[in-house]
Amino acid sequence: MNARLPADWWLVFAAWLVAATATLGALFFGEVMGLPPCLLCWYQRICMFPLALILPLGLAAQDRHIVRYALPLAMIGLAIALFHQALVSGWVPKSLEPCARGVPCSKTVVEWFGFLTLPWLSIAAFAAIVLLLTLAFRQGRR
Amino acid sequence: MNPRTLVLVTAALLLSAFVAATALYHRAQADAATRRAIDHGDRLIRPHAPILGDVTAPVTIVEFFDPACATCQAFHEPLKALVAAHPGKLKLVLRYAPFQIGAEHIVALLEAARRQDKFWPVLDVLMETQDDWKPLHEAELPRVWKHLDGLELDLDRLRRDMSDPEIAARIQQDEEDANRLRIDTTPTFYVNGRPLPGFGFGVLQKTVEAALATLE
Repeated sequence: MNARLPADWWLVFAAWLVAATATLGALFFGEVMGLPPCLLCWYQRICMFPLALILPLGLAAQDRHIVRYALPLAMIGLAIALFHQALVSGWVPKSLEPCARGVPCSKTVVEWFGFLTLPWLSIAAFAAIVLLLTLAFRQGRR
Repeated sequence: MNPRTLVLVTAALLLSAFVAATALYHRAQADAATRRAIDHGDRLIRPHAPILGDVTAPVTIVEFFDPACATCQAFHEPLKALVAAHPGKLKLVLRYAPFQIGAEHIVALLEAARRQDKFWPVLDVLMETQDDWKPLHEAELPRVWKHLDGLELDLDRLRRDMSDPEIAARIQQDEEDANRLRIDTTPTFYVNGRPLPGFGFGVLQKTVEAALATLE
C-alpha cells in the first residue's frame, strides 16, 4: 500500500476492480461458456467494457478528471440494468421489450442461490461503481 | 509502488485469473464429455451406421458429421487418407448430425444412395461440390441432382427411398444419440469411445496414432 496516493485514487481503483471483474465475467459467460448476450446485455456491455479500460488509464496517470468521464457511463449502465431487471420482473409490460429476435432479454440464463441473476449482478456492479466514483468525485473536490 | 505499477500488476492478476478460470472450465467440459461418452457408449455406434475401412479394425473413429458443414468437407479427404493408411487397423463410423439448414435432405439422399451401394461415391461427389449446392449457408437439394450424373444411380428409386420412413427413423436415431451426447457442433470425433482432447485434424491424427501404438 502506498500512503502517498490520495483517498480518491483508491476509490477509483476499487471502482476499476468492480468494472474489470464485471467485464471479465461477461466475457466468460459469452465467450467461454458460449451463452449469447441479449440486446440489453449488449447495451450494458457498451457502458461497462470502456470503464474497465479508461479507469486504469486515469489511475496510472493520476488524472482526477477520469471521474468526469467514467461516472456518466456508469450511470447510463445502471439505468439500463435497472430497466433490464424491470423487464425480467414484469414491472415493464413485455410489449416494450426491444429484442424481437435472438436471445430474449427476459429469459433467465443464470440463477445462483435461487435469486442472483445476471441483471441483478449488473445492477450491483454499476451501483457500486457509481457510488465509489461519486465518493471519489467529492473527495477530489476537497 | 507507484500507481502505474500497481495498475499493471492488478491488470495482470485479473487477466491470469480469467485465463485460469477458462482453462478450468474447459477441463471440466472435457471431463463431462468423456463421462457422457462412457455413460452412453451404446449411442456412439449403431448397427445401421456406414463404415469406412475394415469392420473388424481394432481402432474406431466415430464421426458425427453434417454433409452441409464446410469443416466436415475439409476433413473428408484427409480422413479417408488416414483410414487408408492403416488398413485392417482403423475404421471410420459415420453418424449424422445435420445441423445446417436443409442438411436433413442431403442426409436422406445419402441413405437412399446407400441402398444402391453408392454411399461413398455420392458422399465424395457431395463433398467436392458442396460450394455449389450450398451457395448461401443453406443446403439446396435441387442443386445436387446435376452432380449425380455419371454415378449410374436409379434416380427414381432414389427419390422414392428418400421419403422411406425407415430412413427417417435412422436419421432420427442419430439425432437422438447426438442430443444425448450433447453434440452441438460438427464434426465431433470419438476415438475408441473417447472424445478428442481438442479440435483439429492434427489432434485427431495424434489420438489415432496413440491408439494404434497401444496395439503393438
